[in-house]
Amino acid sequence: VYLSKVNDRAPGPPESSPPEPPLEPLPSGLRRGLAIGWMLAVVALYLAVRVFDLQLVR
Amino acid sequence: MRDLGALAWLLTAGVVPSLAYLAIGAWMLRGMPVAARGAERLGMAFVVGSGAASLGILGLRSIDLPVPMLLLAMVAASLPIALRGTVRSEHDDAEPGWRRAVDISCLGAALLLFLAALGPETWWDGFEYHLPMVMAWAEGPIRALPAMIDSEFRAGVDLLYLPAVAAGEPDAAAAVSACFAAAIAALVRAEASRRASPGAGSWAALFVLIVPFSVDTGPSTYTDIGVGAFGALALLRADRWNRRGEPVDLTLCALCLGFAANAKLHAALLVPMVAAVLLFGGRMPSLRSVASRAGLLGVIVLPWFAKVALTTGNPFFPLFGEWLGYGSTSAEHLAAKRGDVYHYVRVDRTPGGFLWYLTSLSFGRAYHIGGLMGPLPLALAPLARGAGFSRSTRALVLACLAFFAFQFAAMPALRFGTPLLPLLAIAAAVGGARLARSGEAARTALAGVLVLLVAVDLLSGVAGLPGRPPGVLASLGPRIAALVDPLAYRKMLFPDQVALAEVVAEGVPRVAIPRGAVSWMPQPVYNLHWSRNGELFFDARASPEEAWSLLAARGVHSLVIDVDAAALRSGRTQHPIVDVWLEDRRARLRVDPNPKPAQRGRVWVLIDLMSGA
Repeated sequence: VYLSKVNDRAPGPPESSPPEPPLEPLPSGLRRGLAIGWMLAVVALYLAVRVFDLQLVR
Repeated sequence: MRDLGALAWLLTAGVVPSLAYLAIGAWMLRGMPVAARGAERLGMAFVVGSGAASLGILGLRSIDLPVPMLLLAMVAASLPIALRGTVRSEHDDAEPGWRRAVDISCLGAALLLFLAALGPETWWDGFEYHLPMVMAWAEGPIRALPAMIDSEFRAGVDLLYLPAVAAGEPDAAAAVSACFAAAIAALVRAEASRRASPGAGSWAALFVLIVPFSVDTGPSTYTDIGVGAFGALALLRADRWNRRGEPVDLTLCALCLGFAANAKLHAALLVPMVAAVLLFGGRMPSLRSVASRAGLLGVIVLPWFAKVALTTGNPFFPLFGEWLGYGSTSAEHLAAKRGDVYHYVRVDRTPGGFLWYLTSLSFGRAYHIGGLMGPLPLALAPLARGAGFSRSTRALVLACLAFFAFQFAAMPALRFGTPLLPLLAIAAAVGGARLARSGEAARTALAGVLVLLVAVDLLSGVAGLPGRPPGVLASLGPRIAALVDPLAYRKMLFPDQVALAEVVAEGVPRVAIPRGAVSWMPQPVYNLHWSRNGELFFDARASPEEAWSLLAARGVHSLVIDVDAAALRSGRTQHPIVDVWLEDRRARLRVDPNPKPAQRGRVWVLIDLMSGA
């Protein structure tokens, strides 16, 4: 009951921070290539550490 | 060995309290205009319900009233009514079939985590202090527990284990942790679905459940996942207020902040963090609004301030001890404990050290510390950059970065930063969704990576396959198999602790032990390790006289320590304090022709303290 009262008496101010804009794709071919390369490099490194026992950091 | 009836009771002790906490939360949400439906509502209900239930347990046990399973079963039975009309989410026929497959995999992973959590507690902090203090509070009222320093810190999540412990099933306590992990997955799924795409939400939820951190901590009584759930929900609701302006989000935010601070005091740092999100997020709430939520927050944290004030004399313990006192704990021990946390991960506090720490979260090898986050946050979250975020999201990201920087400086370990992890999963989902929209090649590469990582997270270490840390099946499978024969599992992981328990059974109460699986011991024990007892350095730092009188005050009549077998043949232990006692005949070795093995080739020896120390 207390919680619902607290909620009732505090109306929010008008919209001032709009919802997130629609998610756009990466803008250029170069950025897409870099993004794919980055992802593959990180995952390859992870597999090298976890599966193939590479000691990268402690 | 457990028979069918015992297994059923174990399952009951795990399921019923969790359902009761869920029901309490569902009733609370019913009184609030919360739009969330489906899995998100269930996740929110479990988080707020467990926070409220913990306060209820604190109240009941403070005056020595029981928390019987029957009462919880009655609360749990009200769940269908509490959830009526709120759970079914709107089904989208256009959803791809693979999303359903990922969602079903999430349910499977959550179920495995839950069953594995019913296995024996084999995590060091779990059996050394989380469970023992709850056991003490299940047997008597919540009170000061001398020589158990951890019982003086906040224990809001620990109290959720109490019904299972009181029902005689401490193994079932960790079911709560698994439920927190599932709740976080549900929250991440919903928020990532809104911000990225429904498919990205489902993938993010699956990885929340199967990354090494969840597999490592989810089936244990470590409280960090609970703290993470409270903190993350507080942050998400603050952000939602900024974007939607619904007052109920401020209320939920205040509730979760209070519950987080009740679970671990360092989580109180989330309060300024949330304040910054609200201040810079584009929708500053009115003063009246802030005041009412601050009041709510104050009401929620007050019981723990009162508890700590009553048991230590200092409501802010362990802070401000130089003015308000340290209770039965010594300032030296607290300082040493702070140093322990500071050096939990040995890293230089420099930009290079920061980079090293960041790298170690994905690629580190240290047991329980490194590599727990998996690669996806690092691989995908940076791709979200430049996606044109709202002011609120920018404020949230900056606040998270500030918290992470503080955490690195003061207490570097992934488990102390759990409130940030769900947000990191959401950021990775946003980056991944962006990549998936960037052409066929990107989509194919992403799909290949996700499937490959699921396979690695599932299969690492199974049947001779390489992989460290072990994955879901190799890690959780033996725990689930151990539900029938928990002692065999304990023996497999910690044969020395099982042997220690056998020696302790022969000692005159109260027995002191060096440290270890306190909750496995057949009788209450005194933990000789300084970081747990908070009052005695049982080594060259203390004099034999000082140690003798302190142990006498705690009613210790015998102790078990590990010694070198060769030294034992000469009648000495090579322990600076015990050898003095043996020499002046205050202590006597009980000679065992076949001493039981401790670690590193040492053996356990039982020592009687002659004049009733």
